[in-house]
Amino acid sequence: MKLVHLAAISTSIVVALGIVMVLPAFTRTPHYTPPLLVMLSFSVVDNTNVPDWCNDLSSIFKKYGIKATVFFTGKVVDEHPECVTVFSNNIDIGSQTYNYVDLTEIPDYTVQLEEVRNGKQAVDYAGKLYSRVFKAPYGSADENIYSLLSRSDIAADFSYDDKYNKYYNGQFIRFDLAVYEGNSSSADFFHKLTVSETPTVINFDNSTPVEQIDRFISELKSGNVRFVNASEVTSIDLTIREGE
Amino acid sequence: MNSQTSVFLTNVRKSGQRISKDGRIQVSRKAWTVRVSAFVAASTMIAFNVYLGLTLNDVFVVYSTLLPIESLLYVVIGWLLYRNPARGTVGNDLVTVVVPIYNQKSVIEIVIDAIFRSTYKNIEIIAVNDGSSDGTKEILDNLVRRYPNLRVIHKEVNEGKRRAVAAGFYASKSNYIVLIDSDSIIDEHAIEQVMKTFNADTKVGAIVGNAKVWNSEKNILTRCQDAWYDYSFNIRKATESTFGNVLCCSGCLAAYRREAIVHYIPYWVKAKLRDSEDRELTSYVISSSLGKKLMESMAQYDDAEDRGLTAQALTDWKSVYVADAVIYTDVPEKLKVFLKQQKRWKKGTTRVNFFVSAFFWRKHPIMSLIFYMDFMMTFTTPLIIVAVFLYAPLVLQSYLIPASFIGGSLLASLAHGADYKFRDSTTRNWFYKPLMNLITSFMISWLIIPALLSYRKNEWGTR
Repeated sequence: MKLVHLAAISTSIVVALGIVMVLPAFTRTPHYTPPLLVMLSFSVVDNTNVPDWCNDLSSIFKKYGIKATVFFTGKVVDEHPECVTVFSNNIDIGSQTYNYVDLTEIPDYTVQLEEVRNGKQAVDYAGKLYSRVFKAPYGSADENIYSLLSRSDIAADFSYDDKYNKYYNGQFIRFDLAVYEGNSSSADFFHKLTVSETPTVINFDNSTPVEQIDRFISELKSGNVRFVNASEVTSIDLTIREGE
Repeated sequence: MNSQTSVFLTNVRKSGQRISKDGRIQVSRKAWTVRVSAFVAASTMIAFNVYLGLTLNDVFVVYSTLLPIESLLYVVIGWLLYRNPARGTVGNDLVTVVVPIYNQKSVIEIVIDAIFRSTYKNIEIIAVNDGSSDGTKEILDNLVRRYPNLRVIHKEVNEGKRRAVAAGFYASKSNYIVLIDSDSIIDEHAIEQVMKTFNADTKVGAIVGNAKVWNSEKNILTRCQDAWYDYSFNIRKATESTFGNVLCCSGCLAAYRREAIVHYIPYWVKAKLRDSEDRELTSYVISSSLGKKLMESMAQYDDAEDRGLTAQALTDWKSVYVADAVIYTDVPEKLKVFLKQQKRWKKGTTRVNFFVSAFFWRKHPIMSLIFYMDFMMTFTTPLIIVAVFLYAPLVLQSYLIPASFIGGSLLASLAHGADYKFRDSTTRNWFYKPLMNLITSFMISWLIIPALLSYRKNEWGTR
């Protein structure tokens, strides 16, 4: 072997080693962690704080530019229709019966149906919109619920704490859901949740001070979270406003 | 000495650097506080990076620590272990100063005058006029009348720096050859320090002096180079000197023991391509007998004269840095000229390192590590720049990687700059080191491409 070949070999080793160590930098792929899908769900169940609470809540939504879903009781919106109209287009509006009653406690199917229908109609009338999302008061529903919803022209139901139902091809289909109470969980708890494809619903009602909700959203937003509404979760347009 | 030389020497900002009695480059206690803090910070960063690389099983992260490790090694060894080797007696042996010259009519008189101002008096000066066409010849002829110890060799045709140096070497009578670039002004004590070094250790075959930039105040580019030269000499060469393995005895002031290079000069002078002659010569000095054969193979290329000479000296000898043998040299004032010089240096360095890599692993492990890492980075730095500044932000959407690269580089270079200020309180250019680091990363590192592409092109010059 010529001595110059020795130099060529040593140089080749040096260059190859260098390239081998640098190349991994070019084989990296973007490290993307999908965000936690969070649907904030608000229930206006009685006349406490209304309409100031609604007005303040709407301001918070605008401040953070987030999507959410607000469920109203028919009786409340009859008295305070501005509660519905105050929310902007990216907020889904749903109904939760007219009198906020436990449907399973009503023996008569017709009365159940009236509660559901009247609640929806009141919301639609107050907000000049067409709402197709429902949530049963107290999370309580029985086997009649699907019939009640389909006869009330409602396409999505968020009554339960482990699923939601979506109307598709003439029947309601169940999808997984993780539901938490906003008052009993910190934002940090949600930051630590393992991200999955299952949407996370966080419930509040109008007994929660808006300042607390503001703080909660602010903290939640600092993490890898994407706020969605019921329409985005179900891929159905559940709130059609007049003029849309 | 004429009045022009007096004015020039008065105006040159003298080095404020001092050597302590134990041979260290002097700094204050405050400087040591800053040095220790910088060391702790850098070590912590490196340890964290290594931990990260091992836990993520990421080779690139580990590789990214090699750069700061090498930088830290250079700095710490330079700080703690370097001792100025000029500790022998001065003696009175004859010293030959060889000055290869090509078209230097504006400064050559000052250069020669400065040599004759040396406190070391037993010198012969051989000025080799390599076919200058600008009036240098006439100036040299006048100088001969003024200085009887000045010998001038006029070459009719310009044949390159190697042959000019060789002509001076063959005409010399002494055992000690000092090479000075024709645009460099030697300090009056420099040759004395060189001889103290040769006399202190008979194994020293090659010596490099401390090059200071005399036109440093000209513009931003020269200020940057001033800060860069300080780092190159007082940190890098100081560290290499600790192991007796200075890789390039720069042509502005290099000295050789005759017997260290006498057998190499015939090979060296035959070179067809010309870059980095000084590095080549140095490498020969420190190489083993196997290395010597390699260096003789390399000598056919004429683009690494100084490195080649050093490499030659490195075979069986030590090559050392003498911090108080000062020479004032000018640096390019225009970017285009600077880049041309750097391309030539890059080409020569790469070529010499190609040959030296075959035997350098036999040297001290730390010095070997430094050499091979340096050689590796010559090729990989452009790739790293692309990975950090294009791939990371555009593909990975990561701005942290380029930001941390810039941040780390700026902090390290600021520490280097501050160290310059600690060594020489008269400097006004210490804070240009970060800018010079950016120039090195984004401009000079890329010159490896044109350097390799112009592999066979001849380029002569000290700049």
